[in-house]
Amino acid sequence: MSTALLAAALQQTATPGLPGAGIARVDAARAAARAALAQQSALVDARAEPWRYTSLRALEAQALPLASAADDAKVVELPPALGPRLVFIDGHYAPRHSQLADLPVGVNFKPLSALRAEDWQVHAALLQFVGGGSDALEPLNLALASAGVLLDVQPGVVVDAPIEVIYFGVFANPCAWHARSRVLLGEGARVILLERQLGPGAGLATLHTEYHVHADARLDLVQMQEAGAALSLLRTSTLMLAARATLRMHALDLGAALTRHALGVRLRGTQARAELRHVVALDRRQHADLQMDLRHEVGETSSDVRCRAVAAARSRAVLQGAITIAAGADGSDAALSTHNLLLSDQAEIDARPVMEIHADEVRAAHGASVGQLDATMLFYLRARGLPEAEARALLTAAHCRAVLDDIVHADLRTAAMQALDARIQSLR
Amino acid sequence: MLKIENLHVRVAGKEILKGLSLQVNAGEVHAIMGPNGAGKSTLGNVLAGREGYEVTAGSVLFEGRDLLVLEPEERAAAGVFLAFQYPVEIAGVNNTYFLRAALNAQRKARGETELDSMQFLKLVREKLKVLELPDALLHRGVNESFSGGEKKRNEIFQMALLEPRLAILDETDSGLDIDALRQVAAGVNAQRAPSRAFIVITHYQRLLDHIRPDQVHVLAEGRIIASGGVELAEKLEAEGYAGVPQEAQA
Repeated sequence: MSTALLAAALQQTATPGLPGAGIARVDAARAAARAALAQQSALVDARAEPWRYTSLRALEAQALPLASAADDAKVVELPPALGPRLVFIDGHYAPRHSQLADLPVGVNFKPLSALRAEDWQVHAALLQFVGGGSDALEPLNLALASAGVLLDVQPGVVVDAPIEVIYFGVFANPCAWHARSRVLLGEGARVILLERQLGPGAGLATLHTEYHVHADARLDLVQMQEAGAALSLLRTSTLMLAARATLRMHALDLGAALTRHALGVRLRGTQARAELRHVVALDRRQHADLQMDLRHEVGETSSDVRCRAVAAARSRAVLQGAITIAAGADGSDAALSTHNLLLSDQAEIDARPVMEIHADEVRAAHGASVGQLDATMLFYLRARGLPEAEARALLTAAHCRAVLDDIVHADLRTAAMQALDARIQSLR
Repeated sequence: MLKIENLHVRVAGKEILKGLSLQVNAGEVHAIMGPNGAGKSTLGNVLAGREGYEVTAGSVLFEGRDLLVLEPEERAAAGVFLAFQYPVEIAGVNNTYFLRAALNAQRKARGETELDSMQFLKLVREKLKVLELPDALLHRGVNESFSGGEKKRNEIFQMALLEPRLAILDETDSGLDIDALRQVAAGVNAQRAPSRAFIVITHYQRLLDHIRPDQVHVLAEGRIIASGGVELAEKLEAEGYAGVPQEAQA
C-alpha cells in the first residue's frame, strides 16, 4: 500500500515528452526507476535517523499532479541576469526567459530537454542512482525529471560572469516537478554558479544535482532558495572535489514551507578545500532541515563550514552537520561552526554538529550556539535612535551577513545580501 | 533642562539609587564623581532607558516631559545621548550605515527631513576631523576591532554627529591615554553650547582639567551627598571620598 503521493506519481510515470524520451538508455533507466518506485510504500522511511527531524506525512497524503508544461509566454518577474541563464517554469524549460547567447567557448550548458543521445551517453551518470536508492526519492526524481541542466566546462576554461539556473514556480494549484542536474568542471576550470528558486508555486519539487570539481578547478556555488510559501523542496547535492580543487558554497534557505537538503561533500584529492556557508531564516511554520555529510577521504584536505540560522514564530531549523576524517587522511584541517538565533519562544533550532575522526594527525575545531539577540547590542542601537524593530532586524541580518561577506562576485554578493535583508525585514 | 527628584532605582532586586535629586540647566556641564558601586553608571543607564533598571519612586523631567515613560529610541530623538562606558562591538553592522540610520531615525521622529548619503557623508567628514579619527573606521562594523581609545572617541564622534541636547558621558575617560583624553575633551568642548548640557561621570579629576565643569557632585550610596564647584573635585583628588566636606553635603 503506497501513499497517495507515490500512487499518483506512479500513475504519471508514463507521461510522454520527458527529456530523453525515445533514447533507449534513457527509456531503460526511467523504466528501471519506475520499477524501483513501485517497490516502495512511502517516499522515505520516516523511522530512519536522517528523517528524524522532518516529517513528510502531510506531503505523502497529497496526490499531486505532475506540473504541466509551462506556458513559456507567461510573464514572470525575474531578477536581472548576471550571465548565461537557464530558466525553468514549473519544472519545464522556458527558452524565452533563458539567455545562452553569450556562452563562452568550452562551456556546454543546456537543459535536460536539449540533451542529445551522445550527451546522455557521456553523462550516463545522470541516469544512475547515487544514494543507493534506499528510499523512493531518487527513483521518483529519475523517473519523472522534466527539468535540470548539464553544465560541462572544459579544462582551463575560466568563466567570470555567474552562470544561473533558475527554477520559477507559478502553478497556483499544488503540483509536483523534478529536476536532475550534473555539473562538471574540468581541470583548472573556474566557474561561479547561481542556483535560485523563485516564485509562488506550491506543491513538491525534488532537485538532484551532482557536481564534479576536477583537479585545480574552482567552483563558487551560490544556492538562493526563495521559493513560494507552500512549496516543499527536497534536495540532494553531491559534490566531489579532486586534488587542489576548491569549492566555496553559499546556501541561503529563505523561502518554502519545508525544505530538506541532503548535502554531501567528498574531498577526494589532496589539498582539496571546501568552504560551506549556510544561512537559514524562517518564520510562520516553516521548516528547514540541512543534513550535511562532509568527508575528508584523503589527507592534506581542508574544510570550513559556517552555518547561521534564525527562527521566528513557530518555525524550525535543523542542522545535522557531520564531518568525517577518514583513516589515513592525516594532515586534514576541518572547522565546523553553527551559531543560531531564536526570535520566538515557540521556534526551534536543532543544531547537531558532529565530527568523526579516524586519522591521528588532524586539526579539527567545532562550535555551536543557540541564543537570542544580545540585549546590550539592542540597547546600544536603540539608544542611538533606531526603533526597536529596525534594531532587531539590523542585528538579525548582521548575524547572517557575517557568512555571506566572502561571496566572490560583487553583484552576486549584493543580490544575496538584499534577499537576506528582505527576508529578515519580513520575518514575523 | 533635566530635573531629577528623589529617584529610587532597583537593579536585579537591589536598590542602587536611593533618592537621587539633580537639576541640570541648558548650557551647563555637571561632573558626577563617586566611589565604585555608588550608582553612577546606573544613573546614566536609567536616563537612557536601559531595560532591567526599575524605577520604584521619584521622577525625571527632561525639558518638561516625563523621560521615564519614553522608549530608549524616543529619548534619543528627544535629545538624550549616553556615551557608553563599554561601547559594544557589533560585527556585520557597518558603522556608516548604522550612523546614518540612527541619525535619520531621529530626524524622522522629530519631523525633520532625512539626510541623503551625500549630505550625510559631508557631515561625517566634518565631525571626523575634530576627533582625529581615520576614515577607515567608518567602513568597519560598529566598534569592531576598535582599540579602547578608538571606541571612546567613536562615542564622542557619534555625539558630535547626533547633536543631542543632553549628553551623558559614562566614564568616557577610563582606559584613555593622555593624547586620547585630550582628543575626547576637545570633542566635548567643541560641542559645548548654550542649548546643550552635559553630565560627565568620572572617577578622576584629570578629565575635569580638560572639560571644566560648572558643578561637581559626589554620588555615594545612591544619593548626591555633596555638590560644589571644580574645587570639590580637586579636594576629592587630594583627600579621597572620605574627605567629602560636611558643609557641602546636600
